[in-house]
Amino acid sequence: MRVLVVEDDPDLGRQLTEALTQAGYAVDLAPDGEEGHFLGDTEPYDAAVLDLGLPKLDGVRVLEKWRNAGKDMPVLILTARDRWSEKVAGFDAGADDYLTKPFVTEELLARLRALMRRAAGHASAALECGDLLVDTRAARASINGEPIKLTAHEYRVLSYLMHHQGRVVPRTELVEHIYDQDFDRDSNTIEVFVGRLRRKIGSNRILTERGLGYRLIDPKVEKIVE
Amino acid sequence: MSKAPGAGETEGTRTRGSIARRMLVAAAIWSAVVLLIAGWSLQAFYRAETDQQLDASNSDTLRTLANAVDSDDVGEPRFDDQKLPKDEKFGMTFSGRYWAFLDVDSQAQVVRIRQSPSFFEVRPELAGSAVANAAAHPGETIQIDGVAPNERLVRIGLQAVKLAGRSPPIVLYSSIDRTAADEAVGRFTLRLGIALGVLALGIVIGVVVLIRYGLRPLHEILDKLGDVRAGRRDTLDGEYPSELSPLVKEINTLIVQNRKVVERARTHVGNLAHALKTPLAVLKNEAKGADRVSEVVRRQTEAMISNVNHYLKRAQAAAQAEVLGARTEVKEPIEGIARMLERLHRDKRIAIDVHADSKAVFRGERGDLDELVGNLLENAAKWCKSRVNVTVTRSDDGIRVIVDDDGPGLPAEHRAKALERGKRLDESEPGTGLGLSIVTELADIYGGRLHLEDSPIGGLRARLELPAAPL
Repeated sequence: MRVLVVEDDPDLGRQLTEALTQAGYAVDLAPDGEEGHFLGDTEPYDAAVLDLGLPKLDGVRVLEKWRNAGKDMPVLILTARDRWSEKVAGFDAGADDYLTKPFVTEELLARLRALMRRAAGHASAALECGDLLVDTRAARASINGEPIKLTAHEYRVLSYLMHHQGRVVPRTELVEHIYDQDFDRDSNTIEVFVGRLRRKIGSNRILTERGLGYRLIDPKVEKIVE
Repeated sequence: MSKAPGAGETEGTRTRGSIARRMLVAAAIWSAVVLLIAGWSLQAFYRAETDQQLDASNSDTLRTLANAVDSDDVGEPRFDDQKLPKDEKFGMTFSGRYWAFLDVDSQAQVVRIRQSPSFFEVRPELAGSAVANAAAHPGETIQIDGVAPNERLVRIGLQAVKLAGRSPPIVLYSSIDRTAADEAVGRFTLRLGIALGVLALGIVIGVVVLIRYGLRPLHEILDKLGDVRAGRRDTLDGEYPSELSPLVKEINTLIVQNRKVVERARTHVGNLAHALKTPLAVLKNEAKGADRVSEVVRRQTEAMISNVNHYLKRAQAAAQAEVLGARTEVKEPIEGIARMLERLHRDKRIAIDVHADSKAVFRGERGDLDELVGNLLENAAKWCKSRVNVTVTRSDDGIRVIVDDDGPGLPAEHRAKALERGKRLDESEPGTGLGLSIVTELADIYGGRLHLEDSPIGGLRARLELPAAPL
């Protein structure tokens, strides 16, 4: 899962990036409204954290432009001046949730998780696919209660596939959602991650649709036909 | 700062009489003095005029008498009865017309008298000095007031004539009853009094009208100042008399100044809030460790955040409550907040119904109304099962905002506590716990009140009373 943070305060931006990365997300940080708008407009994100008081381009305007361009990722707005009219303007522009500064990062993470889950149509923080379980709160996976050790990238691949289980996820989409912008992308590495994941959770759980992408299935419900 | 605006007289102003009354009293005294002097003078003139007529009559008689007297060889007076005044009144007893010849000695003592029959043998009463005076200046007529034999007032004319062959002159006497003349003067005086009284009344009425008319621009200013206070007007506009326009200009400058100061204060407060909150967020997040320093920093940061929130909101509100003429429509902000909260709580699928009287206009700042209503609605949206009803009504003395929810409600014994500063009843719901207490304090600043009650739809009802801006 990939998250965009648009925040002009360098310290807060760094803290948010660190906390989100630690929680298993690929994170891009934009220090002003213009860059934030550009990234959100051109890159696929699963969620965005948007400060409203931004240099160059106001947060509400950024959000309006995204929504007008058809970007529908969940957006959480940050307001320092907790003026209601600002919040209302943010929601009218298409925000999904808000936090008032100062906040604790745990609160932000919980809200973001809930937003992304809702966007993917899941009700609980724990994603299930048969006996495979991914707890998005702790960024941990388990099979039949047995924890599986995953690297950050492996977790991102699994988490994204879990959010979109049953659907064919094209390789390029997967690449876009697990790497942040600065990462040197090589689509071959995806195959490496998927291969390692298969070894850890069982090869019958991730299906390769030739020429299309990957699909996560519950092997007890659906068999791989080779 | 906790004093509600608009609560009666401002300190330092006490009424010192009324300009209208001062002008009225001064005008009344002045016109009374002028009218009294005028009336007295007119009456005196009229009286002098009547005296003159009486005196002219006496002079005629005196001339006739002078023609009727002569002296014989030994210097004794000799009267020609044919030449005596012909008027028959001289022959009628106490008729009001009298004549007499007074024969005086060298000491001006009357020694002999020949008098008209109208005297009926009564001697004319005369001050000796007047006779002496007349005798000393022969040919001159002396006019004095005296008393007739019938005790009525008369006008008397005396004149001495020198007769050939004797040294003391003969003093001629003529008198005429002045009762009729005095009565005429009395009638004139009465009519004059009535006329002057009417004139005085007219003057007083005129002065009242004049004061009303003259002071009308002042009343206009007062009305417009009221409008400014109520927010119906920005400044005192329009044209004023040259005496008042400097005052109006000064007042306008003060209004603008006041507005600027408040806006500046608000901007500073907002900037301070903005500037403090991000560093506080960073500090709070950085002090994550389990060590003592982190713990102290975390605790102190929390305290700072709580205080910054609390006092910034108060300062902002207090500054705003003093703004002249702030008015905020209630309907639109509430609908905006309701829209936002419905979106925020999409998972719960809540419906927030807003019924707002379009006449409900809050006498205060938009930001404060948002804060008041937003906190109440947020609480209701947080706790409700699916429904929140907002009703805004306007009464004579204020507006009433009622927020009902169908949540679990709040037991009566916890309600007072929920309104205290920084109290939070359920730690599991996020929030700083300042919500309801800030509503209470904000309402307080504006002279309003917050009550917590049972809601007819099951949960908690928050009833907020606020001052209304005049329509």
